[in-house]
Amino acid sequence: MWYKDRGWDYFVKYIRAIQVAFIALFLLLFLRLFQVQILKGFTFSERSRDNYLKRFIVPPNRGRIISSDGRTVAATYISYDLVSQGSLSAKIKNDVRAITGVSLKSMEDSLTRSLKKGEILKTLIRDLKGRPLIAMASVINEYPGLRIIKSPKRFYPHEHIFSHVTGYLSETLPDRARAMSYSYPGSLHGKSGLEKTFDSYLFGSPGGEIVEVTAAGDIIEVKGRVLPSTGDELSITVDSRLQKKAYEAFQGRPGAAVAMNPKTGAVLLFVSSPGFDPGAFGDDAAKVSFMMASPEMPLVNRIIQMKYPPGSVFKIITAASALNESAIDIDKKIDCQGIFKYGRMDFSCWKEKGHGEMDFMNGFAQSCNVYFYNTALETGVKNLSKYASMMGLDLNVLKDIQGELPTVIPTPAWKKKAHKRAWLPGDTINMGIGQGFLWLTPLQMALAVAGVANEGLIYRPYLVERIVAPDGRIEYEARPEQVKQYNLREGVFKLLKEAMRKVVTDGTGRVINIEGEEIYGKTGTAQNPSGDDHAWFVSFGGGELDDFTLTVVLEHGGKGAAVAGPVSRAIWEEYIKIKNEKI
Amino acid sequence: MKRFDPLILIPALFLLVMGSLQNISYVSGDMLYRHLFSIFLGFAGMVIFAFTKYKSFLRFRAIVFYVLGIILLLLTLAAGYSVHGSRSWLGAGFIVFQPSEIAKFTTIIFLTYYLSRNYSSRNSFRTILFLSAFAALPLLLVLKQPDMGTGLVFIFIWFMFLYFSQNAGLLVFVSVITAIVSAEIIFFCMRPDAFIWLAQMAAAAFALVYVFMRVLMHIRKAHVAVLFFFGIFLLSAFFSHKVAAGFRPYQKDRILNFVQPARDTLHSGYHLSQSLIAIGSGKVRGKGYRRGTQARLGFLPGKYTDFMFASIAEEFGFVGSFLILLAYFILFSRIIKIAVMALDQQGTFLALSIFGVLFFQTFLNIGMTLGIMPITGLPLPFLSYGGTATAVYLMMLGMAMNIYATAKGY
Repeated sequence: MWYKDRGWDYFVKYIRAIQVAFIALFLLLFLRLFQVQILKGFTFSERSRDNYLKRFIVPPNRGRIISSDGRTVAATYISYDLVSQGSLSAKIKNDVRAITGVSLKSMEDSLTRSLKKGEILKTLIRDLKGRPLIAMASVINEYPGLRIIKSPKRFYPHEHIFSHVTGYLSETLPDRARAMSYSYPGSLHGKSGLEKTFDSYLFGSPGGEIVEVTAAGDIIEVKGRVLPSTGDELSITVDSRLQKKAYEAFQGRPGAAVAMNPKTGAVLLFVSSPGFDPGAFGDDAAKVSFMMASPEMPLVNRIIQMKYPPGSVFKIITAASALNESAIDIDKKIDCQGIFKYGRMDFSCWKEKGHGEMDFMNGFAQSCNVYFYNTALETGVKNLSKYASMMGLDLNVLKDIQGELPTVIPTPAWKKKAHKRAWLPGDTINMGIGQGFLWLTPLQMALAVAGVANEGLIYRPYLVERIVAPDGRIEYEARPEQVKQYNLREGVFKLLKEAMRKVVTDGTGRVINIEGEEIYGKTGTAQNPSGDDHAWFVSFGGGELDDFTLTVVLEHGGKGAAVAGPVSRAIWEEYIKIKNEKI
Repeated sequence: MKRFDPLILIPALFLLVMGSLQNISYVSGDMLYRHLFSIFLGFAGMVIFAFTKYKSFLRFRAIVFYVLGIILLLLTLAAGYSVHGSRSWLGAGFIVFQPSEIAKFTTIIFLTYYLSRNYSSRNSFRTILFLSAFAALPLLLVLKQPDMGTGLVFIFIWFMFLYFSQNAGLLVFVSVITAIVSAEIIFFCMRPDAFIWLAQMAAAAFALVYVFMRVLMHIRKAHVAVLFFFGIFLLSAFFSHKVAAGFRPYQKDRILNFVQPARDTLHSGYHLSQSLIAIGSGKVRGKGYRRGTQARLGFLPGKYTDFMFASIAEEFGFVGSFLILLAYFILFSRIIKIAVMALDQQGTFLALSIFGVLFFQTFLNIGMTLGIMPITGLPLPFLSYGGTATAVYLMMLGMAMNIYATAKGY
């Protein structure tokens, strides 16, 4: 070796240094390789799988909703979307335009939207139908990058009429979607009505495909497939003929009508007017917010989400408490001169000229305010509150549709707390005719009326009769459930019904006096601070018609009898017609 | 046949086979034929170099080679064409080559020739200056392309020859300056406009040092030393500022990504994270030949060039990548051994610089794919696609074999 011969042997140290550095650095590579491949291999495998294996969802068909008379209220139809499973050349896009007649711009817009959502299958054309669909389907095999996929769309054949029964669908917010185990990005869920409450039944379970993709997003291979399964079918208690008749009777005026079978709680009619077309929403959030801002508030379910003063309809409760507590003598006559003086205050009767001499029957049938001012004072606020609560005016028992507003029955203690003022006799006088602090929802009134019709038994209202899985298995069946029971002294119900019958035969509610039918009722005209009076009409049947109670409210409609009356009559006639058809 | 040292030939063949397997599956047509032809050419060159006495290159021929290399680099700048923003290729049609690879070989031959001729005056200013100038010339031409990765190789060659000249003080000085300049370059990549700020901070720091030296240590001429070092600092800062300002955005990104790996995973850090996923997901046995999802589905960038190691590690697993590392280890150990065995100084220098060039690139490249070295864009010897590099490296091995054979007396 040259350096040894010439006495340069220290150079060998320089080489050794290089060797040590080389071995140390290689050791570093070996260790790092071991760390990455052996120790972290599993983690990196997962990340590699996340890179190239993507899952996309095949949406399930949402279950049908069927009315009690067998009509489809909500259904799912299959629409066809043209999707791309990778990058598309301009030539293909031009071909598609030529075949389907859809403009390039709308395709680009749709693609951009899909890209933003990070979808694997990028939608090119949504809801392709008719001739273009057939034309595209016949050549689809020539374009391996394109696919036609089924995409279920919700369909509401009755449009506005059932809107507050079914509710509508929308994409859920990410945090809520996590709460629902069955949802997936972009899935549509019930936002209100039955669609919301029974979402987990109706939804079904999504299918999916696992595909291998390139970094550019092109699909190489389908690795696995799970078919979606259809959601359950909902049979509801609402009758479509009745519902349609009632909705039409409103003629777009705001208000609510609800009819129940008092002996079971089955809701036969559930109308909130104006409605909306739940199918028109789709996934269009702009339309929803436009609806929300509308002054007519079509998205508000007036049956449970709007409170009105009950007006004279409350006289049923006033009468019941007075009779049951023996606070009045039903034969004692009170002279109505159109005005009732208490201290320095004047309380007027709706009939300015006055009703003249009134006993209980006439006072009730004519809805004489002066008679009931007296009655209220005789009975006292304590009893009025007690009976209002006892007879179910503050019930919140609807489970099938969510969002009921609670009601507080006013009492002196409540007023002290809420308004920081003492309860005055004037408050009692007002309360006796359903004015003042007590505001309630139409459904709460309907339950109280059902209680009277059923003599103290109130059932939980329900809309869903049965839920049937696609394989025919019954998932759920409604069972009548008592939520309230109260007793009145013997004869009081009879007297009350007699009075309510008189309202229909020769009182304020003659408009629903249908020959040969036993119908009981009470009208109400509720003054309110925000406009015209609200018109109320509650009624129930007897004899053969004892399975029907009806509550109608027209918001700012005017006089109860004149406005809510015809609506009620139309519904009663329809109901009687349906009933006769059955027999 | 004894000339063909099996400890060089067998690892080299193994690496070439592995590399070719991957290249065959990734490229086709002219691109593939060009690479395979270069391997053939490289083997022919290896045989020629193995049979030609290495001493014969260390005469006038060394100067000719060096000048030829420089001319090729100049031609590249004038008439070459660029791929990915670097004007590094020369030629037309089927024959295309990368002069900077050839220049690596010619430069180490010439520097060996120069240093061994002037070895007795190796510590003189003149020799150091010339040595550095000869190393710097190809370096500057390569940086002009601009090819940072290859530039690093030339800087490394320069360092190696300073090391061979056994001037420890100089090496320390150069290393310290290099460290300061690198730090400054990184600083200016992060804050391009902070030159004045840095100068002010340095002035304040040096003023403090002056006070410290003068008042507490009673050094009379403290101002001379402080001003001298402050001057050097300012000069280097100025130089670094210019260099950093000349970087392209992607070059800055690469530097900053190395300093702060978590900086940007989606863009420039994407390469590194995909490379790690590829290597890691290979686990012990790999995904199988042609089954690497990272490489084949387009997630791994530069799968047959800069990130070839990652694509092999993905498909052949730890078993395969371990064998690759082992092959390199045997090959490099052998070349060091040859440097020790060499009959003369030139033989030792040549063998060590061949080792240096190959090892430097291998370590930087594999270290890069494993995330322990910055992303530099250097090919992996014998594995990456690239004809010129493969051919030149095979010829280097041929020369190493000749040094071995000469020492053995074959």
